[in-house]
Amino acid sequence: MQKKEEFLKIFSIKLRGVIRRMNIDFERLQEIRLRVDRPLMILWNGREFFVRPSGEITPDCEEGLLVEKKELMETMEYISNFSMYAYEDEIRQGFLTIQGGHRIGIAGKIVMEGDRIRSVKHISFINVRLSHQRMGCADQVLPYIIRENEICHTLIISPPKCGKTTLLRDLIRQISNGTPFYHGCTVGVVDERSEIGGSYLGVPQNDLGIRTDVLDCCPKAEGMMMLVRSMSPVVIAVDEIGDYRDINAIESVIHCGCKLLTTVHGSSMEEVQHKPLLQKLIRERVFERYVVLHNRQRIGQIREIFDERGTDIYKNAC
Amino acid sequence: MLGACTMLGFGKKSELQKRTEALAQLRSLFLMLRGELQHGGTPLAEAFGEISERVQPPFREGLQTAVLLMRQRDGKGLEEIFEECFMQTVKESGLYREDKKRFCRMMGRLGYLDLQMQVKTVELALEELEQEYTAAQEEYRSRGRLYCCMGVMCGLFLTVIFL
Repeated sequence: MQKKEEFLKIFSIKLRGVIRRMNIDFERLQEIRLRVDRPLMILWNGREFFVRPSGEITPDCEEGLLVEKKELMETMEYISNFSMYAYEDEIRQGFLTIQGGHRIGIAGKIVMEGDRIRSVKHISFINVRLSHQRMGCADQVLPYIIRENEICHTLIISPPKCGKTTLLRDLIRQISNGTPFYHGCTVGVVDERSEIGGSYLGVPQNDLGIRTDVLDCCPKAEGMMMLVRSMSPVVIAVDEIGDYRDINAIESVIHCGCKLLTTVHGSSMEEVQHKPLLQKLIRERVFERYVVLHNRQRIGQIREIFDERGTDIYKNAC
Repeated sequence: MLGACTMLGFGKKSELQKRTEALAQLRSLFLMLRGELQHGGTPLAEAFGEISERVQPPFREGLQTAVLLMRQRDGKGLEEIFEECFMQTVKESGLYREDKKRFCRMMGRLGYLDLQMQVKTVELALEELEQEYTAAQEEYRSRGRLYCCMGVMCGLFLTVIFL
Protein backbone atom coordinates (compact mmCIF):
# COMPACT_ATOMS: atom_id res chain seq x y z
CA MET A 1 0.00 0.00 0.00
CA GLN A 2 2.86 2.36 0.86
CA LYS A 3 4.52 1.67 -2.50
CA LYS A 4 1.22 2.46 -4.23
CA GLU A 5 0.94 5.78 -2.38
CA GLU A 6 4.55 6.66 -3.26
CA PHE A 7 3.80 5.83 -6.89
CA LEU A 8 0.63 7.94 -6.98
CA LYS A 9 2.59 11.00 -5.83
CA ILE A 10 4.05 11.42 -9.32
CA PHE A 11 0.63 12.49 -10.61
CA SER A 12 -1.02 15.88 -10.31
CA ILE A 13 -3.31 16.30 -7.30
CA LYS A 14 -6.46 15.92 -9.43
CA LEU A 15 -5.28 12.84 -11.35
CA ARG A 16 -3.92 11.32 -8.16
CA GLY A 17 -7.38 11.45 -6.62
CA VAL A 18 -9.02 9.87 -9.68
CA ILE A 19 -6.45 7.08 -9.97
CA ARG A 20 -6.62 6.37 -6.26
CA ARG A 21 -10.38 5.85 -6.60
CA MET A 22 -9.93 3.21 -9.31
CA ASN A 23 -11.25 -0.01 -7.87
CA ILE A 24 -8.84 -2.39 -9.59
CA ASP A 25 -6.02 -4.74 -8.65
CA PHE A 26 -2.97 -2.49 -8.95
CA GLU A 27 -0.70 -5.49 -9.40
CA ARG A 28 -2.25 -6.04 -12.83
CA LEU A 29 -2.05 -2.40 -13.86
CA GLN A 30 0.49 -2.16 -16.68
CA GLU A 31 0.24 1.36 -18.06
CA ILE A 32 -1.34 4.72 -17.39
CA ARG A 33 -1.47 7.04 -20.38
CA LEU A 34 -1.90 10.79 -20.22
CA ARG A 35 -2.57 12.74 -23.39
CA VAL A 36 -3.55 16.39 -23.45
CA ASP A 37 -7.28 16.83 -24.17
CA ARG A 38 -7.75 13.09 -24.48
CA PRO A 39 -9.39 10.70 -22.03
CA LEU A 40 -7.30 9.18 -19.26
CA MET A 41 -6.44 5.65 -20.34
CA ILE A 42 -5.05 2.58 -18.61
CA LEU A 43 -3.83 -0.81 -19.71
CA TRP A 44 -5.01 -3.30 -17.15
CA ASN A 45 -4.52 -7.03 -17.39
CA GLY A 46 -3.75 -6.68 -21.09
CA ARG A 47 -6.88 -4.64 -21.87
CA GLU A 48 -7.47 -0.94 -22.46
CA PHE A 49 -9.88 1.02 -20.31
CA PHE A 50 -10.74 4.67 -19.86
CA VAL A 51 -11.13 6.22 -16.45
CA ARG A 52 -14.16 8.26 -15.45
CA PRO A 53 -13.78 11.28 -13.14
CA SER A 54 -15.27 9.09 -10.41
CA GLY A 55 -12.42 6.60 -10.81
CA GLU A 56 -14.54 3.88 -12.39
CA ILE A 57 -13.04 2.27 -15.43
CA THR A 58 -15.00 1.92 -18.65
CA PRO A 59 -14.40 0.67 -22.19
CA ASP A 60 -16.21 3.77 -23.51
CA CYS A 61 -13.81 6.58 -24.42
CA GLU A 62 -16.60 9.18 -24.34
CA GLU A 63 -16.91 8.74 -20.58
CA GLY A 64 -13.22 9.08 -19.79
CA LEU A 65 -11.82 12.05 -17.85
CA LEU A 66 -10.17 14.49 -20.24
CA VAL A 67 -6.59 15.24 -19.21
CA GLU A 68 -5.79 18.95 -19.20
CA LYS A 69 -2.41 20.41 -20.13
CA LYS A 70 -1.88 21.82 -16.63
CA GLU A 71 -2.37 18.32 -15.16
CA LEU A 72 0.35 17.02 -17.44
CA MET A 73 2.70 19.86 -16.54
CA GLU A 74 2.10 19.35 -12.83
CA THR A 75 2.67 15.61 -13.30
CA MET A 76 5.99 16.23 -15.09
CA GLU A 77 7.07 18.50 -12.26
CA TYR A 78 6.38 15.75 -9.73
CA ILE A 79 7.93 13.02 -11.85
CA SER A 80 11.16 15.01 -11.96
CA ASN A 81 10.69 16.27 -8.38
CA PHE A 82 11.06 19.88 -9.52
CA SER A 83 14.29 19.02 -11.36
CA MET A 84 13.67 18.44 -15.07
CA TYR A 85 17.24 19.58 -15.77
CA ALA A 86 18.56 16.51 -13.94
CA TYR A 87 16.95 14.22 -16.50
CA GLU A 88 18.14 15.92 -19.69
CA ASP A 89 19.89 12.80 -21.01
CA GLU A 90 16.91 10.58 -20.28
CA ILE A 91 14.43 13.07 -21.75
CA ARG A 92 16.53 13.15 -24.93
CA GLN A 93 16.03 9.38 -25.18
CA GLY A 94 12.30 9.82 -24.71
CA PHE A 95 11.87 8.20 -21.31
CA LEU A 96 13.03 8.29 -17.75
CA THR A 97 12.90 5.81 -14.92
CA ILE A 98 11.69 6.80 -11.49
CA GLN A 99 11.97 5.33 -8.02
CA GLY A 100 10.44 1.89 -8.07
CA GLY A 101 11.70 1.13 -11.57
CA HIS A 102 8.63 2.54 -13.34
CA ARG A 103 9.37 3.80 -16.84
CA ILE A 104 7.91 7.13 -17.92
CA GLY A 105 7.75 7.58 -21.68
CA ILE A 106 7.30 11.15 -22.93
CA ALA A 107 6.49 12.77 -26.24
CA GLY A 108 6.01 16.34 -27.36
CA LYS A 109 7.88 18.88 -29.43
CA ILE A 110 11.49 17.93 -30.13
CA VAL A 111 14.12 20.65 -29.93
CA MET A 112 17.03 19.91 -32.26
CA GLU A 113 20.60 21.15 -32.00
CA GLY A 114 22.10 20.59 -35.40
CA ASP A 115 21.27 17.00 -36.23
CA ARG A 116 20.97 15.74 -32.67
CA ILE A 117 18.06 15.92 -30.26
CA ARG A 118 18.62 18.56 -27.61
CA SER A 119 15.47 18.10 -25.59
CA VAL A 120 11.70 17.55 -25.61
CA LYS A 121 9.60 20.65 -25.10
CA HIS A 122 5.82 21.04 -24.58
CA ILE A 123 5.47 17.50 -23.28
CA SER A 124 1.89 16.53 -24.15
CA PHE A 125 1.98 12.75 -23.90
CA ILE A 126 3.07 10.64 -20.96
CA ASN A 127 3.08 6.86 -20.75
CA VAL A 128 3.66 5.49 -17.26
CA ARG A 129 4.72 1.85 -17.46
CA LEU A 130 4.47 0.25 -14.07
CA SER A 131 7.09 -2.10 -12.81
CA HIS A 132 5.86 -4.93 -10.64
CA GLN A 133 8.00 -7.30 -8.69
CA ARG A 134 6.51 -10.76 -9.02
CA MET A 135 8.23 -12.98 -6.51
CA GLY A 136 8.33 -16.53 -7.75
CA CYS A 137 7.71 -15.83 -11.44
CA ALA A 138 11.06 -17.41 -12.23
CA ASP A 139 10.24 -20.67 -10.42
CA GLN A 140 9.42 -22.44 -13.66
CA VAL A 141 12.50 -21.23 -15.53
CA LEU A 142 15.21 -21.61 -12.90
CA PRO A 143 15.55 -25.41 -12.99
CA TYR A 144 16.12 -25.24 -16.76
CA ILE A 145 19.00 -22.76 -16.52
CA ILE A 146 20.96 -24.65 -13.87
CA ARG A 147 23.27 -27.39 -15.10
CA GLU A 148 25.70 -29.32 -12.89
CA ASN A 149 25.12 -26.81 -10.11
CA GLU A 150 26.08 -23.87 -12.31
CA ILE A 151 24.00 -21.20 -13.97
CA CYS A 152 23.95 -21.40 -17.77
CA HIS A 153 24.60 -18.38 -19.98
CA THR A 154 20.98 -17.45 -20.63
CA LEU A 155 19.29 -15.22 -23.18
CA ILE A 156 15.66 -14.26 -22.52
CA ILE A 157 13.88 -13.46 -25.79
CA SER A 158 10.69 -11.49 -25.55
CA PRO A 159 8.50 -9.01 -27.41
CA PRO A 160 7.70 -5.75 -25.56
CA LYS A 161 5.35 -5.93 -22.56
CA CYS A 162 5.83 -9.64 -21.96
CA GLY A 163 7.57 -9.38 -18.62
CA LYS A 164 11.18 -10.08 -19.53
CA THR A 165 12.53 -7.54 -17.03
CA THR A 166 10.19 -8.89 -14.35
CA LEU A 167 11.44 -12.41 -15.05
CA LEU A 168 15.06 -11.28 -15.06
CA ARG A 169 14.55 -9.53 -11.74
CA ASP A 170 13.19 -12.66 -10.09
CA LEU A 171 15.93 -14.83 -11.59
CA ILE A 172 18.53 -12.48 -10.12
CA ARG A 173 16.82 -12.63 -6.73
CA GLN A 174 16.57 -16.40 -6.63
CA ILE A 175 20.10 -16.98 -7.90
CA SER A 176 21.42 -14.51 -5.35
CA ASN A 177 19.45 -15.87 -2.39
CA GLY A 178 19.72 -19.50 -3.39
CA THR A 179 16.96 -22.09 -3.52
CA PRO A 180 16.55 -25.58 -2.07
CA PHE A 181 18.40 -26.94 -5.10
CA TYR A 182 20.89 -24.13 -5.73
CA HIS A 183 23.32 -22.69 -3.19
CA GLY A 184 23.14 -18.98 -4.08
CA CYS A 185 25.98 -16.89 -5.45
CA THR A 186 27.17 -13.32 -6.04
CA VAL A 187 25.29 -11.58 -8.82
CA GLY A 188 26.42 -8.35 -10.44
CA VAL A 189 23.71 -6.27 -12.13
CA VAL A 190 24.29 -3.47 -14.62
CA ASP A 191 21.05 -1.56 -14.37
CA GLU A 192 21.46 1.01 -17.13
CA ARG A 193 17.95 2.45 -16.88
CA SER A 194 17.23 1.65 -13.21
CA GLU A 195 14.46 -0.71 -14.30
CA ILE A 196 15.75 -3.89 -12.72
CA GLY A 197 16.43 -2.61 -9.23
CA GLY A 198 14.41 0.64 -9.35
CA SER A 199 17.25 2.16 -7.36
CA TYR A 200 16.88 5.36 -5.42
CA LEU A 201 20.06 7.10 -4.26
CA GLY A 202 21.96 3.93 -5.18
CA VAL A 203 19.77 1.58 -3.15
CA PRO A 204 17.61 -0.92 -5.07
CA GLN A 205 13.94 -0.55 -4.17
CA ASN A 206 13.16 -4.00 -5.56
CA ASP A 207 14.38 -7.14 -3.82
CA LEU A 208 17.31 -8.40 -5.88
CA GLY A 209 18.66 -10.82 -3.29
CA ILE A 210 21.22 -10.79 -0.52
CA ARG A 211 24.29 -11.37 -2.70
CA THR A 212 23.57 -8.84 -5.44
CA ASP A 213 25.63 -5.77 -6.31
CA VAL A 214 24.10 -3.14 -8.57
CA LEU A 215 25.67 -0.57 -10.86
CA ASP A 216 22.83 1.89 -11.34
CA CYS A 217 22.50 4.16 -14.41
CA CYS A 218 25.70 2.73 -15.85
CA PRO A 219 26.21 1.90 -19.56
CA LYS A 220 26.15 -1.88 -19.98
CA ALA A 221 29.52 -2.36 -21.69
CA GLU A 222 31.50 -0.33 -19.13
CA GLY A 223 29.44 -1.66 -16.25
CA MET A 224 30.12 -5.30 -17.03
CA MET A 225 33.86 -4.75 -17.03
CA MET A 226 33.72 -2.69 -13.83
CA LEU A 227 31.84 -5.48 -12.06
CA VAL A 228 34.26 -8.15 -13.22
CA ARG A 229 37.22 -6.10 -12.02
CA SER A 230 35.87 -5.06 -8.67
CA MET A 231 32.96 -7.17 -7.38
CA SER A 232 33.89 -10.76 -8.30
CA PRO A 233 30.48 -11.76 -9.56
CA VAL A 234 29.67 -15.36 -10.40
CA VAL A 235 26.76 -14.21 -12.53
CA ILE A 236 26.33 -10.92 -14.39
CA ALA A 237 22.86 -9.72 -15.36
CA VAL A 238 22.04 -7.00 -17.88
CA ASP A 239 18.78 -6.05 -19.57
CA GLU A 240 18.21 -5.49 -23.31
CA ILE A 241 21.52 -5.91 -25.08
CA GLY A 242 21.38 -3.59 -28.04
CA ASP A 243 24.67 -2.76 -29.75
CA TYR A 244 28.12 -4.00 -30.66
CA ARG A 245 29.72 -2.55 -27.56
CA ASP A 246 27.42 -4.72 -25.44
CA ILE A 247 28.36 -7.78 -27.50
CA ASN A 248 32.09 -7.08 -27.13
CA ALA A 249 31.68 -6.67 -23.39
CA ILE A 250 29.71 -9.92 -23.21
CA GLU A 251 32.55 -11.77 -24.90
CA SER A 252 35.04 -10.35 -22.40
CA VAL A 253 32.80 -11.21 -19.45
CA ILE A 254 32.36 -14.79 -20.60
CA HIS A 255 36.09 -15.22 -21.04
CA CYS A 256 36.55 -14.05 -17.44
CA GLY A 257 34.54 -17.02 -16.25
CA CYS A 258 31.34 -15.20 -15.27
CA LYS A 259 27.95 -16.54 -16.23
CA LEU A 260 25.64 -14.22 -18.11
CA LEU A 261 21.92 -13.51 -17.83
CA THR A 262 20.55 -11.11 -20.38
CA THR A 263 17.51 -10.22 -22.46
CA VAL A 264 16.80 -9.16 -26.01
CA HIS A 265 13.77 -7.96 -27.95
CA GLY A 266 12.35 -10.60 -30.25
CA SER A 267 9.33 -12.82 -30.73
CA SER A 268 11.04 -16.12 -31.47
CA MET A 269 14.31 -18.02 -31.63
CA GLU A 270 14.26 -17.80 -35.44
CA GLU A 271 13.93 -14.02 -35.39
CA VAL A 272 16.81 -13.62 -32.96
CA GLN A 273 19.02 -15.94 -35.01
CA HIS A 274 18.72 -13.48 -37.90
CA LYS A 275 19.77 -10.46 -35.88
CA PRO A 276 23.25 -9.46 -37.10
CA LEU A 277 24.18 -8.46 -33.55
CA LEU A 278 23.67 -11.92 -32.13
CA GLN A 279 24.48 -14.21 -35.04
CA LYS A 280 28.10 -14.70 -34.01
CA LEU A 281 27.25 -15.45 -30.38
CA ILE A 282 24.53 -17.92 -31.37
CA ARG A 283 26.72 -19.59 -33.99
CA GLU A 284 29.51 -20.02 -31.44
CA ARG A 285 26.99 -21.42 -28.93
CA VAL A 286 27.93 -18.82 -26.33
CA PHE A 287 24.41 -18.89 -24.91
CA GLU A 288 23.52 -22.18 -23.28
CA ARG A 289 19.85 -21.45 -22.74
CA TYR A 290 17.28 -19.43 -24.70
CA VAL A 291 14.04 -18.61 -22.93
CA VAL A 292 11.26 -17.35 -25.21
CA LEU A 293 8.34 -15.48 -23.63
CA HIS A 294 4.93 -14.46 -24.87
CA ASN A 295 1.78 -12.94 -23.31
CA ARG A 296 -1.01 -14.83 -24.99
CA GLN A 297 -2.70 -15.87 -21.76
CA ARG A 298 -0.82 -13.81 -19.21
CA ILE A 299 2.28 -11.66 -19.06
CA GLY A 300 5.54 -13.51 -18.58
CA GLN A 301 4.34 -16.80 -19.95
CA ILE A 302 7.14 -19.14 -21.05
CA ARG A 303 6.63 -20.29 -24.61
CA GLU A 304 9.75 -22.36 -25.11
CA ILE A 305 13.21 -22.99 -23.73
CA PHE A 306 16.08 -24.08 -25.99
CA ASP A 307 19.58 -25.30 -25.27
CA GLU A 308 22.77 -24.11 -27.00
CA ARG A 309 22.12 -26.36 -30.02
CA GLY A 310 18.62 -24.97 -30.50
CA THR A 311 16.98 -28.13 -29.17
CA ASP A 312 13.62 -27.62 -27.50
CA ILE A 313 13.95 -28.60 -23.83
CA TYR A 314 10.62 -27.08 -22.78
CA LYS A 315 7.52 -26.18 -24.75
CA ASN A 316 4.32 -24.66 -23.40
CA ALA A 317 1.41 -26.72 -24.67
CA CYS A 318 -0.99 -23.68 -24.71
CA MET B 1 19.17 51.40 34.26
CA LEU B 2 22.66 52.00 32.96
CA GLY B 3 23.13 48.26 32.63
CA ALA B 4 19.79 47.73 30.88
CA CYS B 5 20.40 50.43 28.29
CA THR B 6 23.94 49.20 27.71
CA MET B 7 22.58 45.67 27.18
CA LEU B 8 20.03 47.07 24.73
CA GLY B 9 22.79 48.66 22.72
CA PHE B 10 24.88 45.50 22.73
CA GLY B 11 21.76 43.53 21.82
CA LYS B 12 21.20 45.60 18.68
CA LYS B 13 24.87 45.17 17.77
CA SER B 14 24.53 41.42 18.28
CA GLU B 15 21.49 41.34 15.94
CA LEU B 16 23.56 42.94 13.20
CA GLN B 17 26.31 40.39 13.77
CA LYS B 18 23.82 37.51 13.69
CA ARG B 19 22.38 38.72 10.40
CA THR B 20 25.86 38.98 8.89
CA GLU B 21 26.65 35.41 9.94
CA ALA B 22 23.30 34.15 8.62
CA LEU B 23 23.91 35.80 5.24
CA ALA B 24 27.35 34.17 5.16
CA GLN B 25 25.67 30.79 5.77
CA LEU B 26 23.20 31.42 2.96
CA ARG B 27 26.05 32.31 0.65
CA SER B 28 27.81 29.10 1.58
CA LEU B 29 24.54 27.19 0.99
CA PHE B 30 24.26 28.57 -2.55
CA LEU B 31 27.93 27.85 -3.23
CA MET B 32 27.37 24.23 -2.27
CA LEU B 33 24.21 24.13 -4.40
CA ARG B 34 26.17 25.41 -7.38
CA GLY B 35 28.73 22.68 -6.73
CA GLU B 36 26.07 19.98 -6.58
CA LEU B 37 24.56 21.17 -9.85
CA GLN B 38 27.83 21.53 -11.71
CA HIS B 39 29.34 18.33 -10.37
CA GLY B 40 26.50 15.89 -10.99
CA GLY B 41 23.38 17.70 -12.20
CA THR B 42 21.89 16.54 -8.91
CA PRO B 43 18.08 16.80 -8.57
CA LEU B 44 17.12 19.55 -6.13
CA ALA B 45 15.75 17.34 -3.35
CA GLU B 46 18.94 15.27 -3.31
CA ALA B 47 21.12 18.37 -3.44
CA PHE B 48 19.28 20.00 -0.54
CA GLY B 49 19.53 16.77 1.41
CA GLU B 50 23.31 16.65 0.93
CA ILE B 51 23.75 20.34 1.71
CA SER B 52 21.64 20.10 4.87
CA GLU B 53 24.32 17.79 6.34
CA ARG B 54 26.90 20.51 5.83
CA VAL B 55 25.17 23.62 7.16
CA GLN B 56 24.48 24.71 10.70
CA PRO B 57 21.10 24.88 12.40
CA PRO B 58 18.59 26.37 11.83
CA PHE B 59 19.28 26.15 8.07
CA ARG B 60 19.87 22.43 8.41
CA GLU B 61 16.36 21.86 9.73
CA GLY B 62 14.96 24.29 7.16
CA LEU B 63 16.46 22.36 4.25
CA GLN B 64 15.48 18.97 5.67
CA THR B 65 11.88 20.14 6.09
CA ALA B 66 11.91 21.50 2.54
CA VAL B 67 13.07 18.12 1.22
CA LEU B 68 10.22 16.37 3.05
CA LEU B 69 7.68 18.84 1.64
CA MET B 70 9.10 18.45 -1.88
CA ARG B 71 8.70 14.68 -1.65
CA GLN B 72 5.09 15.05 -0.55
CA ARG B 73 4.24 16.71 -3.89
CA ASP B 74 1.02 18.20 -2.60
CA GLY B 75 0.48 20.95 -5.13
CA LYS B 76 2.94 23.52 -3.76
CA GLY B 77 5.63 25.16 -5.86
CA LEU B 78 9.20 25.58 -4.64
CA GLU B 79 8.74 29.17 -3.46
CA GLU B 80 5.70 28.18 -1.42
CA ILE B 81 7.52 25.18 0.04
CA PHE B 82 10.46 27.27 1.16
CA GLU B 83 8.19 29.98 2.54
CA GLU B 84 6.37 27.38 4.60
CA CYS B 85 9.48 25.80 6.09
CA PHE B 86 11.96 28.66 6.19
CA MET B 87 9.75 31.35 7.66
CA GLN B 88 9.21 29.05 10.65
CA THR B 89 12.46 27.14 11.07
CA VAL B 90 14.89 30.04 10.59
CA LYS B 91 13.03 32.46 12.87
CA GLU B 92 16.01 32.79 15.21
CA SER B 93 18.63 32.97 12.46
CA GLY B 94 18.96 36.78 12.59
CA LEU B 95 17.73 37.26 9.05
CA TYR B 96 15.26 40.05 8.42
CA ARG B 97 11.86 39.16 7.00
CA GLU B 98 12.86 40.69 3.66
CA ASP B 99 15.98 38.46 3.60
CA LYS B 100 13.84 35.35 4.08
CA LYS B 101 11.36 36.41 1.40
CA ARG B 102 14.19 37.15 -1.00
CA PHE B 103 15.71 33.72 -0.31
CA CYS B 104 12.33 32.01 -0.94
CA ARG B 105 12.00 33.89 -4.24
CA MET B 106 15.50 32.76 -5.26
CA MET B 107 14.55 29.17 -4.50
CA GLY B 108 11.34 29.57 -6.47
CA ARG B 109 13.33 30.36 -9.61
CA LEU B 110 15.06 26.96 -9.53
CA GLY B 111 13.90 23.98 -11.60
CA TYR B 112 13.13 26.03 -14.70
CA LEU B 113 14.69 24.91 -18.02
CA ASP B 114 18.07 23.19 -18.25
CA LEU B 115 21.15 22.68 -16.06
CA GLN B 116 22.86 25.76 -17.43
CA MET B 117 19.86 27.83 -16.34
CA GLN B 118 20.03 26.38 -12.82
CA VAL B 119 23.69 27.29 -12.50
CA LYS B 120 23.04 30.82 -13.80
CA THR B 121 20.11 31.21 -11.39
CA VAL B 122 22.30 30.17 -8.48
CA GLU B 123 25.07 32.51 -9.62
CA LEU B 124 22.59 35.38 -9.80
CA ALA B 125 21.42 34.54 -6.29
CA LEU B 126 25.05 34.49 -5.13
CA GLU B 127 25.62 37.94 -6.62
CA GLU B 128 22.61 39.33 -4.80
CA LEU B 129 23.68 37.67 -1.57
CA GLU B 130 27.20 39.01 -1.95
CA GLN B 131 25.82 42.55 -2.19
CA GLU B 132 23.57 42.02 0.83
CA TYR B 133 26.43 40.49 2.82
CA THR B 134 28.79 43.36 2.01
CA ALA B 135 26.09 45.88 2.99
CA ALA B 136 25.38 43.96 6.21
CA GLN B 137 29.07 43.87 7.13
CA GLU B 138 29.33 47.61 6.52
CA GLU B 139 26.23 48.22 8.63
CA TYR B 140 27.70 46.14 11.45
CA ARG B 141 30.98 48.01 11.28
CA SER B 142 29.45 51.48 11.19
CA ARG B 143 26.44 51.03 13.41
CA GLY B 144 27.55 48.35 15.81
CA ARG B 145 29.81 50.60 17.77
CA LEU B 146 27.24 53.39 17.50
CA TYR B 147 24.55 51.23 19.10
CA CYS B 148 26.87 50.27 21.96
CA CYS B 149 27.82 53.90 22.59
CA MET B 150 24.22 55.04 22.35
CA GLY B 151 23.20 52.36 24.82
CA VAL B 152 25.75 53.53 27.35
CA MET B 153 24.96 57.23 26.74
CA CYS B 154 21.22 56.61 27.04
CA GLY B 155 21.77 54.80 30.28
CA LEU B 156 23.90 57.61 31.67
CA PHE B 157 21.40 60.22 30.52
CA LEU B 158 18.44 58.45 32.11
CA THR B 159 20.41 57.89 35.30
CA VAL B 160 21.24 61.59 35.52
CA ILE B 161 17.60 62.53 34.80
CA PHE B 162 16.29 60.31 37.56
CA LEU B 163 18.95 61.48 40.00
